[in-house]
Amino acid sequence: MTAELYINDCKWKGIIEPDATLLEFLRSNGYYSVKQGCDSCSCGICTVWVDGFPVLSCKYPACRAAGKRITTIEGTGSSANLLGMYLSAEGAEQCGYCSPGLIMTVLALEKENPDASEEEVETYLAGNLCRCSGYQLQTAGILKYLRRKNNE
Amino acid sequence: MWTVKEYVMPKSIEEACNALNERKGNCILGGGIWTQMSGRHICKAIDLSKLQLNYIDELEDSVRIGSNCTLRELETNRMISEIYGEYFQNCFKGIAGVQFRNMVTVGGSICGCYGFSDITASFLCLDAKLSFYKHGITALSFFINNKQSFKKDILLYAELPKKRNIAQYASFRANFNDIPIINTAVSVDRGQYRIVIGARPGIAQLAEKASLAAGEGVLPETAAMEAVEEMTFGSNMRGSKEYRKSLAEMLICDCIRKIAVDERVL
Repeated sequence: MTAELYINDCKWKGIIEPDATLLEFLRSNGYYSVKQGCDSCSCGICTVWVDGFPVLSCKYPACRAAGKRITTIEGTGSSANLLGMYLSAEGAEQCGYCSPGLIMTVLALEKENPDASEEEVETYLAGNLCRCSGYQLQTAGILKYLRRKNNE
Repeated sequence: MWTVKEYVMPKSIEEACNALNERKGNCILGGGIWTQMSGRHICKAIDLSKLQLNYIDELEDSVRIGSNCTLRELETNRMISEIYGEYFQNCFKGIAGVQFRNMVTVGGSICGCYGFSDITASFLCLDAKLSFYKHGITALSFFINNKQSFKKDILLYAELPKKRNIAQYASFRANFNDIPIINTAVSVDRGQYRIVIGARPGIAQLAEKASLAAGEGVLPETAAMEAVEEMTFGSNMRGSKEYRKSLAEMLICDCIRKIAVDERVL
């Protein structure tokens, strides 16, 4: 299918395979920050934004993205870097494989609910799994990131 | 892994319906997740996302929900929360993560007739009506029992009655956001109860006799016992039929008790 879409505000036009997932499409176009995890919508590692909403690219049909704006972690600017620093300061990053998906989800949460409570953070991130850091340090880093303006 | 020969995004319902009926291997995509995981071989995948079916409209006596509306849109809609309270939030919060709920559509969940579906159970409990392109308007309960005859039709919207409905939803899962082992929903509108049990593991069904009994004022324990007695349960890797039956009885009883509290508050 011939499609036109935007990836991180850059226009892309070309042919998308009818059974390609958004994950396959993005990685084949060099967006390697989008990781493949469970491939069954369980881990959240492949999270990207479509028109600003977080989705799981491992099962999002790439053709459906025609005409839409796709954002990967490269397109979030300094926010992702800043959140990454808060996470690493808490020791919440170990292998880092889940970080791009986690960061994309947290930034989506920040847009929706910038004053999220600890419980709201945990509920929103229920679809993001991490196999090595545990979740307490991640939550602590995320809460510090969200409260950073209050602490300045 | 699924295979698709052609992916189309029709610009009208008629075009979509014609594409669906062209040949057997053509298929409508909802969120597309289950279709992909089932490893189907599809001739023509028909994507409805260009048909503006992702609306939530408040009408005089009902709420109309477009079939392409996502679970997240429903969950976060202010008007839905004002009318149904936290009913849908309680129902959807255990469905995987936010990203997943941004993809799953109301139409895909209902038309997929999934036994584990939380949305089918919650909509059936509110006595939802469905509007199909060819079949017109039908009750969700009728659709569930006659799904084969709707196979080549397209769901346009679901309509929920906007009555003074008090409803409670409860499910039991192996962990917070897993597929439910059992789900139950109970609603009451001016003394008329609707008790629904889903993930038995079969698709959600209305416990008619128990609903009548609850309306006649029997104890919650009695209504719950009658509900599980009139339903069939099955076993699978998630739980045995005896386990499901015990859980369903407890959850229904709990829902009826909570409704009694809500009624006193209102």
